[in-house]
Amino acid sequence: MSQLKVILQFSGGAELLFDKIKKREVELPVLEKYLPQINKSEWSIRELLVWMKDNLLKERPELFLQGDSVRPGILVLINDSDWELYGELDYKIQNGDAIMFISTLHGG
Amino acid sequence: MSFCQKCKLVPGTILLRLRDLYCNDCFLTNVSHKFRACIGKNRILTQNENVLICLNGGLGSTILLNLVLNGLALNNHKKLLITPVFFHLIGTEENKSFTKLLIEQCMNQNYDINLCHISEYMIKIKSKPKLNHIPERNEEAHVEMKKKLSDMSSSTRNDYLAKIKRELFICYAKELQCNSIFTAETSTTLAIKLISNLSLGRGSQVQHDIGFCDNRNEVKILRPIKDITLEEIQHYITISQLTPLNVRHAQEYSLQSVAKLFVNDLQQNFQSTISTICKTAEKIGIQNENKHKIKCLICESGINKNQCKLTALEATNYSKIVSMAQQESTSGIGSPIEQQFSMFPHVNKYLCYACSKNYSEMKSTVPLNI
Repeated sequence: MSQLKVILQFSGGAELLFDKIKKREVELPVLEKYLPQINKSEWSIRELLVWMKDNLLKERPELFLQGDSVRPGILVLINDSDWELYGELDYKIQNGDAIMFISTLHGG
Repeated sequence: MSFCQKCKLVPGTILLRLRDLYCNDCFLTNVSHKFRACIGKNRILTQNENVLICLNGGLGSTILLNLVLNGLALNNHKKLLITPVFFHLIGTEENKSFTKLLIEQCMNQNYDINLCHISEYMIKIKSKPKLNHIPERNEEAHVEMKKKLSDMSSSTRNDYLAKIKRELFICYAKELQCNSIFTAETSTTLAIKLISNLSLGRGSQVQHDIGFCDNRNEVKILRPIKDITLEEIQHYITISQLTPLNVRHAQEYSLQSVAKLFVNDLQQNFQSTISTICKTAEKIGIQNENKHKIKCLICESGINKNQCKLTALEATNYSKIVSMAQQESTSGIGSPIEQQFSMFPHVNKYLCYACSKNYSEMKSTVPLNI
């Protein structure tokens, strides 16, 4: 399978959980090797979240994830459109996609 | 055992909105009353006029067919005084066995049904509808139509298809000498349509797209079952033992599907969601409706340009101009330069905002008759 590069962006406070880096370009490994147990060959947002949790998420995963999805209150945009328009967790990631996570949860 | 809250004589069998209990008879009377009241109180139809009744085999359409036939069969002062002309538009993805079932559905009631292909839209001189038989398809138009639809995003496609259907319904209504059209939108469908239309930029057209009567053309489109909800329809179908055909739409994510999820989700726990949305929609209208001189070529809505000080459309265009780094241009909004770089072709001149947005997504040219 060809390489899969995506741009991950974090804002609204979500970057605090990811080393305070707002934008990163990452290359995803071959899915069969990374998660052999799920028997799938195409990356969807569901697997991306697992990968992010294992590789990028630095602290308090409960502030970012809930179950196998993101916490309610975190907006996910795929190429600047709401992920609901793309099928949320089931969206098949394409090479070059920009995926943005915006937290709407704030302290006060 | 609790009794029907209407007649209080028989035990209730149907629970609506999680709290209202009805018996079968009272329920059926109530549904057909809603249908009759909707037609009656609007006083739009004249006696025995031809009405084009659009069927697609789905839940709403099956009920509409049943209600119309029941109304015609009556022999008292409540008799429905129209001459029905049944009509079906064959979609690009529809298979023949489905169409045949629909023809049977009508023939079983001893009524004829007129059929036409939706791809006729691409042809200027449209062929006449065929009675009880699947008409021959113009392959060229069919391929062109499919190509055009597949080029669009799913949200645009849904919206555009609705406009195509509307235009074809009107066109064939004229062909078949009908002055009115019945379509089978339920209050549930209309609530979803309201939310999606607002998000697509068709806010000014709500009155015609969601209300009882769409009178943008001289042929009026009426929605006689607009006060009946999907829940009621499902009960009605079970009690009357009707067999709706399975209209299956491919699972696709679009603004419309998200709006549908949103409305249905809320409705589960808040039983008055749909009625609140629909009642609100009824109150939205346009002022000075007769003043519109320009009409959109696709959806026939009035184009009203200088009503607001600044519209979202102008803001989007302005933002585009700025992003294109046209800094030397000091011209303001509405200047020729804006027309030239507009993201929205023909907007405000020939097309309304939403239709222009759809048009901008089409790769092939459309018969626009400009």
